[in-house]
Amino acid sequence: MTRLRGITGALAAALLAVLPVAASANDSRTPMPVIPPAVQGDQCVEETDYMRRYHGRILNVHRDRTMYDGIRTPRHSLDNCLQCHADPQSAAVSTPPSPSSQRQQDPAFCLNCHTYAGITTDCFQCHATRPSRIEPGYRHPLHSGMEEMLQSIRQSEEPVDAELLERVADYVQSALNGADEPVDDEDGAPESHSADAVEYDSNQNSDR
Amino acid sequence: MSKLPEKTDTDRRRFVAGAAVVGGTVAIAPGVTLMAAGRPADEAVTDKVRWGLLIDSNKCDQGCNACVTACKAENGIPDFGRPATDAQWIRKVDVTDPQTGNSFSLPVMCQHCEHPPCADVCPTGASFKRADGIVLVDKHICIGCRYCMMACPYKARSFVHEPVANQKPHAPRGMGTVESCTLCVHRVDRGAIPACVEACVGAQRGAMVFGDLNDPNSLISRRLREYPSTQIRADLRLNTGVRYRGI
Repeated sequence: MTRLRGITGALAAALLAVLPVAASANDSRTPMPVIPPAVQGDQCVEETDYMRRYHGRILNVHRDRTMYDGIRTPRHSLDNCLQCHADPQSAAVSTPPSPSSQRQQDPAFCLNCHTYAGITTDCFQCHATRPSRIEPGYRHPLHSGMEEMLQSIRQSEEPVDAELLERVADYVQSALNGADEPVDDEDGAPESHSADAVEYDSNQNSDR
Repeated sequence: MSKLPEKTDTDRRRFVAGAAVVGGTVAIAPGVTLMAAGRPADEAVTDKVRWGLLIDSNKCDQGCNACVTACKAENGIPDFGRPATDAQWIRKVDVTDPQTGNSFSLPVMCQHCEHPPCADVCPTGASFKRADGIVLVDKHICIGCRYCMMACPYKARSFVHEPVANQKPHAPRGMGTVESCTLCVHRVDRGAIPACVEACVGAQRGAMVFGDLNDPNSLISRRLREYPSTQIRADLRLNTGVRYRGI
């Protein structure tokens, strides 16, 4: 028994000795994804560690609650994610979008990790990549692969309606440049979540 | 997930107050008042309400396209100038009686059936009816087979053929899925009326009334009680949520 304890102790000591080395090696040798800091606020809707592990599950649950039950609380909505994690500092905001090869360098919050982990994000094939409450023309560099899709259509052997393709390309291009009307509603009615969001900002440190 | 201290949606009241000031027409004031008994943002929809539309084709002008334009702007539906395949959530239909030459106009969109054939045929369960009667597509599980487009007697659904960009945050849509009128579910959920109805009021027509079919005191129920109305293809017994007058 004492012998076993001795072995365990030795093992623990060895591990303790090795761990810092492993950590430093991790820092220096292993490429890590760039995680851009949030634009607004200093705290996520849940603990960062929790979000890092379970954000997919949270989004899926909220997605179903919204779609089937009409529950539109802003806290766990994808739109709310974009409010803070869409990065206005990247070049894609002030300049026309760069080719996709350069875009990979942009501080895209979702894409960087997902590319690193080799997990596709399908969200932005359908969902807006711009938050609803932001100045017109703003767009952050999450992209849905539309340019690649257009490119593959152009290069395909199948006959394509060239005129239509150009119209689609123009539309995508103008959309990427943010040349559209303001995203906010023009009907004079306030967005239902704007007041909630203010409320949420003031509460976010106290509600857990 | 932790239970969240979400606030009651106060914007609805602000919307009602704003609309009462802005909406000078007779139509919007009662139309909005009946919406005041909405639900908070964190409560699930129930079958206590059933949303519906009453469209009066006598008041609908053939030349007016306000509802269609408003729908496209609200939901971010682009126009590629190819009507055969462009997405179309609402369209204006002009009808002429060949014998008399009498013609009239009406908007047609998803009729939000009580027994939606689209949901019956959907192989994945993507087409569904919400508890409050709004028929939607869950695009996360839609495989784009277009059975629902075949099944719909109203030609209400569209398939998205082109890559989509710059969607509205409240109206996600993408290539390879089927979509249709959502009765502006994002607006209804916050206590507002659909964009087409609002545009119709704004265009001084007032041909569309939105409201709760289950509430006997709602404007739409009172109108339905007072005046004769019909459903398109009533013979199919789908019990549509969209009713028409003057057709």
